[in-house]
Amino acid sequence: MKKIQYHLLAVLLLLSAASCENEKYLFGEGPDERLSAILTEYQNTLCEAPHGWFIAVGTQDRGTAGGAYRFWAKFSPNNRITMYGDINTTTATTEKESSYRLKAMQLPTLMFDGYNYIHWPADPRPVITGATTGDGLLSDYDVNLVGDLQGDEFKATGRLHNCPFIFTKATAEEQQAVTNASGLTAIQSTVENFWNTLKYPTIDIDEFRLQLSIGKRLSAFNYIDDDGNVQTITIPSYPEFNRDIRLTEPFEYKNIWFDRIHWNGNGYEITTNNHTYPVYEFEVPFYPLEFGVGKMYNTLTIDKTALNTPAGNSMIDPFLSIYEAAEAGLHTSSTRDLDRLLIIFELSDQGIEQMRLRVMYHSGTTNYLGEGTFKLNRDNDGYIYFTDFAIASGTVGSNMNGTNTGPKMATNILSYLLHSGLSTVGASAIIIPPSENKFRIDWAPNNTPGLSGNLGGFYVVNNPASYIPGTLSN
Amino acid sequence: MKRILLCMAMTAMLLACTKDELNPDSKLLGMGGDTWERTELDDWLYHEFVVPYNMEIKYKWDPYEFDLEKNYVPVDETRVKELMTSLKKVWIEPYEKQAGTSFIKKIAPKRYVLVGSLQYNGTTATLGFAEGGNKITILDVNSFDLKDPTIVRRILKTAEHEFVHTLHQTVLYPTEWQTICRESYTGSYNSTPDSEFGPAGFVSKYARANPDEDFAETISHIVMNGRQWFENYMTSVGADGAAKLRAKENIIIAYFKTIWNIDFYETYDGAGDGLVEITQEAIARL
Repeated sequence: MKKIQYHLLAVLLLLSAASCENEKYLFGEGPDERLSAILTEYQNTLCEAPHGWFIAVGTQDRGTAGGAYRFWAKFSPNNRITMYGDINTTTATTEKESSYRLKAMQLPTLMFDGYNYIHWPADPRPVITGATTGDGLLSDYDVNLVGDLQGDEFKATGRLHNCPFIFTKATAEEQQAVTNASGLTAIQSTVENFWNTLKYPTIDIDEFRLQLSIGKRLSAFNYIDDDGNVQTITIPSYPEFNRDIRLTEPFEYKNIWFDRIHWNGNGYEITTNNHTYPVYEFEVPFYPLEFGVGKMYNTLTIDKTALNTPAGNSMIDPFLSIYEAAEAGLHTSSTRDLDRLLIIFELSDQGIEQMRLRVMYHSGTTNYLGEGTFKLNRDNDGYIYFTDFAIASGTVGSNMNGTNTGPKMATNILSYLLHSGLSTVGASAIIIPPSENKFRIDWAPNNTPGLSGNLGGFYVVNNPASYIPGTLSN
Repeated sequence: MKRILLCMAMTAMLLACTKDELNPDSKLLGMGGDTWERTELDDWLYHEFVVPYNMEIKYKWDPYEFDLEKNYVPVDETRVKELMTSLKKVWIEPYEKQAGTSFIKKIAPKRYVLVGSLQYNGTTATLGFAEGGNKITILDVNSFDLKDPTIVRRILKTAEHEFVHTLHQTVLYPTEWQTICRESYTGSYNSTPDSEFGPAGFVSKYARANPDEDFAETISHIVMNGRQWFENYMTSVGADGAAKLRAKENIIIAYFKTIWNIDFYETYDGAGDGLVEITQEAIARL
């Protein structure tokens, strides 16, 4: 027994001594060697794409200027890079050279370490992007790389703002299109123009209905969730050269997942769960319009030039005649040309909901803005009616109250809006004849080719054919 | 006996692994700084700044040089040569003329970090930093354009300002400097009215931040704008402000002469040999 113990001890000793030989590095080489090898491998992958890479970044700012920005870049082994960008036609047609390097940070990182187009969305100078001073569009240019970058496409993440990046190898034709034909901005226009012709593009994924709003940098999706609330998801996106819309992050809801809206030669479709669903047009959005203070929309912009074009009219009689009477009234008095009207729902200084009517017009090269407010009332059926017209204070009030503005609209626009009671306008207190109109607010059909955005209408309850159409905003 | 053997065996097992040693030849990635293939610009900077002054001009982006939470953009390398040439003419050469060629080599910080944009801090923006007499950071390099004298002056003034910090970080100004405007220094200088700083004896709002900034601001304003500008400025701020500014001016003249053997102003009218005059001439020739 003792002997067995000694033998066992001897074997253990041998084993423990031998084991140390292999314990030096768990993965065969030291971390620095491995890091160095992976940086070299990444650099080779980037440099070896014969026609360069498309690099798309989705900014965290998803406002007017935010969304996906796309660049074409050719990497050289000597740390130099040449680039085009889809920021504007200049960046799409002018090659810019700078530098890059791969650096071991917390992760292997691709750094665009000299200013180029890819830095534009991240530039914190407000004169560059128009975004908040110091923020830029919350974009990245240090890119963390992980995994093996095999294949024609890989994804990565920005270091500072976690912006999504998609790297795609360009083909010879694509490189040609970028370098010779401002391809990056040309495809944006092609695709944007197509989507602008679609009215309320919608997809039915079995029972689930989705309305799409596709711009050159952002895609917005509206749907009704399980609680009956309208939800909007906005995802940075960009058009590929085959006209597909590529989302920088997938759309995900329940078991629905897609990151591409595919151009099939005639129209768009999406594929999810191995089924393909086409995009079709709707006359108006399928979900209820929410208009009011704190709602999805609170402003209706009534601009005849935008609504009515030779190709089609979204402002129709009887309201069209009323609008044109106001237009003519303003014009004859002092050649003031009506640009547009805005109906804005807001809170008064006392915290009560009111309607602000804004009249925008010009005389020669001078622009004017006049304002007045109405008391906003709701009846038992939920219909809206306006009373107690009052001139706003300050210059905007004077611009509304002047002889050539308010009084010229008293018998048309102001009367159409005013439900009841005695309200006056102008220095000589011209009485506005009340119309007794009550309104129901709903979507309005968009009959104007090329006019994008959602249209809303204030429909006269007793005469639904009569309505004020306009583009909705907040 | 059995116990002794067991103990020996255990010790041997423990010791078995202590033989591993670090390989002194293994190369640590990134040790010695980042590398890249040198360009014409790298060669130019090497010959103009590294060889004569042992100054490193770091124009390539490195996030660890900056506040990791803030947004910046890298330098557009097409601006670097123009900026550094101007900086050499307006800042380095006047000091060399006044204090000899070894002055800059000895005193000036060895590391210069450039970045394309400003650093935005809510309501204020930072134009430059000086750290411990070792490093000067110049921001907003992408705005540098010789065709825009306002921008050129602002960026070069920043460099001058930061260098003055290096001077007083090396040998402090006399303590009486701190007493001239003692009651007017405030951390919330940015919210003080613009009409206040002149009559209180300052050349800028930022000078009110603390005596160090006041020292750097006063000197860089005079050097970059000239003696006549300073005289005109003093007449515009009222008697009290002028008296304080004059007292500061006297301290500056004495500080440069006694500590650094530099004539701040020319030795007689028209000689053009003072630091301020030489700098003014260099600006005019840009």
